[in-house]
Amino acid sequence: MEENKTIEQTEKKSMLVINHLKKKYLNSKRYSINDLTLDLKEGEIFGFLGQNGAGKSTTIKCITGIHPYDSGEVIVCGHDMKKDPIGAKKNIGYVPDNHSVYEKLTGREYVNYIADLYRVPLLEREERMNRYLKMFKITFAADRQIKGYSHGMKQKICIIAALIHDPKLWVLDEPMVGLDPQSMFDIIDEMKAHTAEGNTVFFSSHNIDLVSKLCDRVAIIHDGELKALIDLHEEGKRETLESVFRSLTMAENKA
Amino acid sequence: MRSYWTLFRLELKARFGARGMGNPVFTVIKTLIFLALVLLVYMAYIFGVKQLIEMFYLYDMSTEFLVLFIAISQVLLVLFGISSVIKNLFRSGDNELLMRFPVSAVSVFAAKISIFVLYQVIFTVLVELPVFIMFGITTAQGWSYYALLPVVLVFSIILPLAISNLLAIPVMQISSRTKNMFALSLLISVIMVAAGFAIYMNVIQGVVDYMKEEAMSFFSKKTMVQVSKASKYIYPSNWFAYMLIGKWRLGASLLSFLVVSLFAGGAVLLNKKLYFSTILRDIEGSGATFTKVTKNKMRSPMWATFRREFLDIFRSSNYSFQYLCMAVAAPVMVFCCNRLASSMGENTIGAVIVPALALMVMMIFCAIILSFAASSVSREGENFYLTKIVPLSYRTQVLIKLALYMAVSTLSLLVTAVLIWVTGQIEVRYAFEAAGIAFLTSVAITCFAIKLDIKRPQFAVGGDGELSVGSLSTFVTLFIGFTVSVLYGLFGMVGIFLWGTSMTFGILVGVSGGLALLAALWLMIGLNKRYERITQR
Repeated sequence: MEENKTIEQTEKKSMLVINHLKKKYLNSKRYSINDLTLDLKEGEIFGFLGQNGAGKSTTIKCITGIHPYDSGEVIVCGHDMKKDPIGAKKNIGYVPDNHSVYEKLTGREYVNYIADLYRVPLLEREERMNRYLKMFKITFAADRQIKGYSHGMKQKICIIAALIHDPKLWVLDEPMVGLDPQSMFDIIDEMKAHTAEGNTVFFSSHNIDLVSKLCDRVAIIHDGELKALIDLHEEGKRETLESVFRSLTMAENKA
Repeated sequence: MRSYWTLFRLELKARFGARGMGNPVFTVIKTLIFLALVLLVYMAYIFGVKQLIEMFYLYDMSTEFLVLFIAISQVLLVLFGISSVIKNLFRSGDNELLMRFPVSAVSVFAAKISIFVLYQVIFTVLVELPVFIMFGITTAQGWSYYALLPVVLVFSIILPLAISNLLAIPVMQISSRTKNMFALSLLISVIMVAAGFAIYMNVIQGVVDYMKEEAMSFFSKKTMVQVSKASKYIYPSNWFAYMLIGKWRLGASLLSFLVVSLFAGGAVLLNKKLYFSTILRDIEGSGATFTKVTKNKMRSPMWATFRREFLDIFRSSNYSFQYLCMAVAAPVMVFCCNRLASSMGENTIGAVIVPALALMVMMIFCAIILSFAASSVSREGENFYLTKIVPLSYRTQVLIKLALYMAVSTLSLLVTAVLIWVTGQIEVRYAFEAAGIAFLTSVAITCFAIKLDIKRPQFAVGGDGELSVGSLSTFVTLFIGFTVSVLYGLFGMVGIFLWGTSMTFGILVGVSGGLALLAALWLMIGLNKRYERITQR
């Protein structure tokens, strides 16, 4: 059964292809990402593990178009981020680690603004917005200015804005930080529901236990380099993920 | 006491410590230009006040001048003091942090107020002392005047400080209640700026008129009598003045001392009792935000971004003041400046130069308003990443910002043109031609300002998500804007004499069009690549 799933996965459409990606920050001597290659398929939840400063957030920022990269390719749903950035960005929904949003707007205004940018039809946005507001239990705050939101509420409005256009690739940077347990379960459920529709979820995390339970595959990055790509459907991989991670990331980051 | 010194040093470091960042050559140039401008303004101030002292002396109203001067200084110090006290004592960013440490409220208060006192001393020495000395010389005061001067100066520091402290708490409560009434705040700001500027320009106009014809009074005779009557009732400024010039000296001195002691004592008692609790209440209430029920509505990506950009400015008291308030008040300010410049210019050169002066004044105010564009990217702050991930090209996003700035400044220019035409300052044709030239130059300045910010953005935002430091780009934009305005003004005046107004304005339209085109090309060529390279780690 596990073997079949792995074979099935290789035949599936690629949603995110990262080819030999290299990124060096200005005034830095070392590559923050060095020759990273990944291929994320439709319908999978992909975990991205690494220590602090390993290059997780930098990778995510390159994928989403926030950071330029020195060489390599990032292809989102067939659109090259360098050649067709708009086409690529249309397919991404991104939740940042710092939950920054336009705080002078109300929650509804903000989500509507994002929906406008992705040209989401009115009926669809209304249905999605109401569903997510209800799911994350922040309907009561939808018309309040975001400035007054708590950390968790800002995180939730970021997630709603990222999902309002039903992206094919949902990218989350440390999404569970600051969330209450119930909201975490809701996000996990939404990740599963999102991938069940043929979409892909790519998220970074420090929570190995969560990644091992939730993800189909996981990449471990250390010092900007890919150290392991693990298919968690293979027997025994979920159970050994923690020890593998520890052995691969034992050395101190060079950053 | 030890914690007081530690906190005082911390305050000094926070204000004056982090310097020397950025290009050192630019820093030196910036400092030199700034010092030159300050010196220029200071010299103009000293010269203006000297004229006023002489004028009041001529009309045997020296005492009235002294009373008015002390009163105006005190009012200014109180106004400045209230905002400083609120900003530095009650709403300082480190209050929440300091309250976690084992330091007393008195130490925190004393350390913070010491900085404020330092500012007051600098103001008193630089702004008040020279005037008192000039007054003493002009009116030939005796030794007692100079002997009592330090006492009055100390009173002039303590009294506004105490009143500011007493008024700060109620003002804070009012500002907390009105902070989300954006339109009202904008309206009040516009009225205050426009009225303040109009009064200021009227005073300058008075000085100019007096200089033109010394026999002419600053105010009408009736006004002078009223000023004379009113100055008798401006307490306690009149007591301070009487103390100095020796009119009812003992009584005035005792009353002055009593009033200053009463206010100072009241302020000490109030702060001792309410300082920490007020900070706590304010921190607790700072999260209070507005609720606005809206329906989901579909807009085009460009219109949605335009609207969001506007709301971001409109809903920020700082940005709204810096940009919208200045843009709305600009017509009144241009009108006042133009009237003054025209009366000066007409007298020395002739009425024909008025269109060129109007153009220069219009352009100077446009430069002030549009310097705001030099923080277009920086203002995104922590949200900058959003401009990178949304499916809207960088070029489109920048064009939307440009469109917003141009929409506001064009409206402002049109209103200005109508105002100076309707009030008869300038012919209709020249009013709109000047507005057209100013518009084209505005396009050039805005493109230039945005490009500067794209090249060197500074995402130094504070806790409220708003820019906390002025950027070099803003300063450079202002400097270039002023320089171009003055050059246009000079060229206009010379050109009007040589070729007439139509020809001169025609040339300026051509030059401005060329500048606008060049600046737009400079902004647009390679924009996507340049924008892509901006990163925030």
